[in-house]
Amino acid sequence: MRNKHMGPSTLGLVASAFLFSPFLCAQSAKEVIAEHDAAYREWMDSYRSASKEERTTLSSKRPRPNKLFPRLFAIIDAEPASEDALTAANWMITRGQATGADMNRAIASLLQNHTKSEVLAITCSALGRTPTIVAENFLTTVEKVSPHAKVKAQACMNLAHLYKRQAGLVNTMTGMPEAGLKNLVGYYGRETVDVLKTADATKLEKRAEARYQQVMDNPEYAKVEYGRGTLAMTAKTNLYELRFLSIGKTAPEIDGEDIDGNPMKLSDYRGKVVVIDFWGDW
Amino acid sequence: MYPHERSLVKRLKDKPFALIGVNSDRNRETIKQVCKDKNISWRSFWNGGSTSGPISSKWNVRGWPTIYILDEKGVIRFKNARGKAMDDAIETLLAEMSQGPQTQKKGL
Repeated sequence: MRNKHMGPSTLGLVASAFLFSPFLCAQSAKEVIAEHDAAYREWMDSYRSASKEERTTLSSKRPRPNKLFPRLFAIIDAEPASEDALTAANWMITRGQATGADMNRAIASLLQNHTKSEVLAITCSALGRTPTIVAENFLTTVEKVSPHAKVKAQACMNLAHLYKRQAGLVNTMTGMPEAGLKNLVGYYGRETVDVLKTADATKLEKRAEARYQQVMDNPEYAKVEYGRGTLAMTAKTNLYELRFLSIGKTAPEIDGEDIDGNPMKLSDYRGKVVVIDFWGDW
Repeated sequence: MYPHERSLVKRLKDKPFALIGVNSDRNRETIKQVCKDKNISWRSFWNGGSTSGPISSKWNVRGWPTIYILDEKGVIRFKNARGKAMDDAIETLLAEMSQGPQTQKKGL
């Protein structure tokens, strides 16, 4: 786009030759990302000040993170073991909303070159929400080989989240029409869908339980700060939820009192279909 | 929420169905008045006057409203189904109940 200002076509030719020169191709991942962030901010500003009608057209012009992916992958391919490649892959995973083949490719590049990096804690958190086989391999490896306790702990915790997600996915996939499965292939890749098609949700839940338990039992993992507490505290609530509050489990007893102070028990309602509504008048 | 819940309770009053709340408001007297004013006839557990009360903490509730739907055996069958999805979920479970004994007979 820059050569637009140059006017004469000869100059344009020189400029486009320059555009493809190695000098300009060597833009760093940080620069590519900064360019996107700036474009996004600019779009956001114009969106905020736009009228309702203008917004409909504007929303289709929102800068999409996946537009950057070809450039980020080029950076990775040029020098996969570099800091810059790490930044590029990490951004696609944690902020670029990568899915399908892009996501798997970004993870695979980290798995090959950066499993010992100190910055993988956030990557692990993003992968706990990605129930793919590639993400599973990545987290398993990082938990084993990372020299950083915090990263290992997050890898373990997010393996638990991942197995829980996989179990959920196995349940939703049961009896799913072909079109739905095709969507899942686009989203997670063929390998994951094929593996989960024949997987046992209960076994996956057991794996999740074991990993949450591991976070609680390993003192190095348990004490890692997370949210307003520690990783062990989060693992504990998740474990409880998985064991007692997931679909298919018998609801835990509530033995308390009603608003008026009269005794009230959940089990008093056995034999009826029950809707429990956690509510407040706010 | 209230209008949908009121109509649900009214529509299913002759069915084996119960709507129960877990209320996390701060003031008991205020909420008693709200129930009167807004015609909230169903019972609610008292969550100790806080969103971090004993019941919501144990049930790991982090958003309000959170909804659990249990079948007649007390098994959790749906989570956070709202509006039409909630109606459908309840219908499914009620239909299961009325079909239940028949299926068992077949088995014998």
